[in-house]
Amino acid sequence: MSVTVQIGRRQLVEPRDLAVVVVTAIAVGWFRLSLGWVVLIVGSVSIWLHRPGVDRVAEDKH
Amino acid sequence: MSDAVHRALVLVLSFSGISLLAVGGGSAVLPEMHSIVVGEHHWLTDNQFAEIYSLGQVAPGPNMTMVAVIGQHVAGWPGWLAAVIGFFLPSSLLAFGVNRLWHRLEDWPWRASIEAGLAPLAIGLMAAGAWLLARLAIHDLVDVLIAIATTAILLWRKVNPFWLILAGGLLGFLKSM
Repeated sequence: MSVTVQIGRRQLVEPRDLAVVVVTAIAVGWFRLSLGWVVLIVGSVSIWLHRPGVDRVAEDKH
Repeated sequence: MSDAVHRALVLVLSFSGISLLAVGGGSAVLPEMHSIVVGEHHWLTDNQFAEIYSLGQVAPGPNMTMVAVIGQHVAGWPGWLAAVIGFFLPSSLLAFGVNRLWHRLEDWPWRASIEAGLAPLAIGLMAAGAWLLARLAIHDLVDVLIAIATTAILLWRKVNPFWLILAGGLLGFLKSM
């Protein structure tokens, strides 16, 4: 858990990232959904949330 | 086909699949691995799975060397080999291929999106793995206190986890006396 918190400090304060963290953890840890589907669906949504032009980090680079 | 070889084949196929989905490292696939070896095939009990994970933490090398112990427990030496090849080979080849491709896509706008998007997914999967381990290993108030103290120490003090695992093992031994 400490490793998760240490690595995820940035993700745990950004609302959209925190939402992805919580949904992923509940889907796999609580509902025991298939890892493949979770990675595919939640991963796609998460990437879309960071799509070019929307992501603050990407905009900062430009 | 002997039972051990059949089990080894199942191991190599299932571990290959989950290793390719290990976004966030080995701990991210612990729930899926637990589902396969404990829930689906009943090769291990919950306690054995937690003990093997602890062993992997204490042993030198990557903590996911625990897959080798699982493989050996499930199907002897063929299982050991199958688990190691299944878990490490496909993901290593994938990392090699993606790394080469990634350098070529340096100016691709979606590259940063993929990196930023997969980071919270990885953290979520790691949290699910931590939740699974807590569920398997925490049984009473003493366990809860040990877990909280360990987490706090690792977050606020730079301590080698080996010593904390050793101390936890000692406390567990004293508790069982």
